[in-house]
Amino acid sequence: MFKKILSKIPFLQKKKTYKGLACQFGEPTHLLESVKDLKELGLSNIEVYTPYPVHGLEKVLDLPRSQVPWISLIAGLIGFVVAVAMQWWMSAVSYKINVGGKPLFSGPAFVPIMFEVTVLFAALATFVGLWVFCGLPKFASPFENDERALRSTNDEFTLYVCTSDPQFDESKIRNVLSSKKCFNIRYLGEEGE
Amino acid sequence: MNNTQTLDILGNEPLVLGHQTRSEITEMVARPLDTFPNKKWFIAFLVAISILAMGLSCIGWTFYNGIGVWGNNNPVGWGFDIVNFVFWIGIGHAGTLISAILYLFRQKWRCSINRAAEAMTIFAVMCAGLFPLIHLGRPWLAFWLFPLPNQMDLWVNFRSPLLWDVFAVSTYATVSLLFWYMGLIPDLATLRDRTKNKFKKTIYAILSLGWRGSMRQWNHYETAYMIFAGLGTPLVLSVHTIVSFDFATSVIPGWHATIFPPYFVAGAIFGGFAMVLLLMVLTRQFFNLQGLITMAHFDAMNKVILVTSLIIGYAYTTEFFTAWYSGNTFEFYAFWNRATGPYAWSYWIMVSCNVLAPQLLWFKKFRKSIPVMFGVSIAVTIGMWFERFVIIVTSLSRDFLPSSWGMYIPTQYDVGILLGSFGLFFTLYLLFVRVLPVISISEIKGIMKHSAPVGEKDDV
Repeated sequence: MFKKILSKIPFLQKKKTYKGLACQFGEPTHLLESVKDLKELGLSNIEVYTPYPVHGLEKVLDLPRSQVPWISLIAGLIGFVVAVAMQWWMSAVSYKINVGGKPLFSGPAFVPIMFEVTVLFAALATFVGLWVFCGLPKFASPFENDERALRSTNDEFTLYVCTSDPQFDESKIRNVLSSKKCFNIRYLGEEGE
Repeated sequence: MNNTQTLDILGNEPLVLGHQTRSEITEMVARPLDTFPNKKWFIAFLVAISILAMGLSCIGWTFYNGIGVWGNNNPVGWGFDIVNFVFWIGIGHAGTLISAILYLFRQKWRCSINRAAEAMTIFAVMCAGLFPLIHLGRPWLAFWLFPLPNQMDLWVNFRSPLLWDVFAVSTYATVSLLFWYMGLIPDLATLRDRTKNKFKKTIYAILSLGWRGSMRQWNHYETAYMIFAGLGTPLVLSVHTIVSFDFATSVIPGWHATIFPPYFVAGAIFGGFAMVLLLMVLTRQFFNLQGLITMAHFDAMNKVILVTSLIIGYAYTTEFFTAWYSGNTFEFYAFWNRATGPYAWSYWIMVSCNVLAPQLLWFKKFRKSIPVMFGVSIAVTIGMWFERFVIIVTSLSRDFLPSSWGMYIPTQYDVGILLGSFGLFFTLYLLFVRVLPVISISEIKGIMKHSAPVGEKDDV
């Protein structure tokens, strides 16, 4: 179970560089159709780079639901426990001060800080968790040597099929892509550990 | 600009005018970052930074002499410092409302203004945080506010609303900053891939953490964005609620009221939206962003201002009614004194700026008129500052025993530091518009026509 979770975190995986067949799209509709057709070839290692989230693609790519919310929940709960423990220990154990005859552990008065610390922990963990799940920071990329691929943060969409995919068959893929409105089909990146 | 607007299927005006391509949108937002700033910017920046320098010298004078140079006295121990603190923290709330609450409500019009509004939040919280610190008297001991282990073995008092403020404001500042930075990442990647300048490219590459925009990344990103919006929504409500607890948990007449939390939150959003509107009008004019920040955006923002104006107008009335209906002499006197006492002028400035001026916005013609909305927003900003002045100063200057009454007169250092905080705010904002995209490029692309594949749901 634990290993399975760890294996999902890209940050902890072995760093490999991959080679893949890439092409460009100008419109999201054409992109979506091509991904659907490529999926029918049995390809599983398809990646799409887009300037904004294109809704519908996550279904076609079979992307699982993001696990980030679990990180937020766990961190939020930890934050809550930390806040309760901190206020209890500091006010009722370490240095007892009677303020206005209120109980040493003044439950209602401690609620605001419990809430704030919960939110703070959850937000920090969500932020860090997001980058861990996204495999960032990661600066080297085959995109840096390809003017066209860099446009996938501007106006074009880059489709990328990794050669390590067990179903990778260049002629079949080119066949599918040639009937679509895509352009600039080429290899991106180099193979290696 | 293209004026041939066509309404969409629901009768809404389009949020992006004209027929730009995606790369034209990128250029429109990113180009100002590459050009040398023009004369207008330099004049504005010089004015802002001069006012900031004046404010800093007043703060320096305060540190040198102690806070005795301010108008604060006994009984009015909270003067301009806390007025300004509540004012600025309230301004910040509109940014979080736009970025978090409107996101949860699927309000697409937020996309054009959320970046600038979030930046405004951070700068406003910085201005706000300044005031409690300089009010400490010994600001170099500010770390005593946090429960840090020390040689006296003492801890902070967790029952004090002032400590709740420390936690609320520092959490708010942190979360707002993270949310803003998270939203910037895809745009920083766009800038990185666009620039030809090696130095800029390195900076953008580091700041964007190597974002490539793969669908797998977007999948996590959108989920995390939703979580942040979900966390930010109760957080922003809690922050001004806790600020209002500073007053509501005390026994001073005019402060000790259960209406305070919702009344303060509504006031914060009201004042903050006026500030967002001022900034957006100016930014739009300076950078020719008429196609991205449209009259439809201003119309929606003016509606928010109108609604929150009605809420606080109602709160003013309720306060008065409850004070009378409670039969409590001191409570009723506090309000009677506000409207007719020595500070009546500030009360009536507050009412006319906050309740009367925004009534113009009932009319669509005025909601779409730049001069009218600009004037109303300035009135609201002034009015909301006076609201905090009225609450703090009138209540403290005349509490229970007439023998302990006293007037509060601010000194030039009080005024100087208030102006200085505006200088700080505008200096930071002017720097922001020069170095970072003022509009979220990736979010705008997501709400443009033909941004979603045919037949798929078109979500924000």
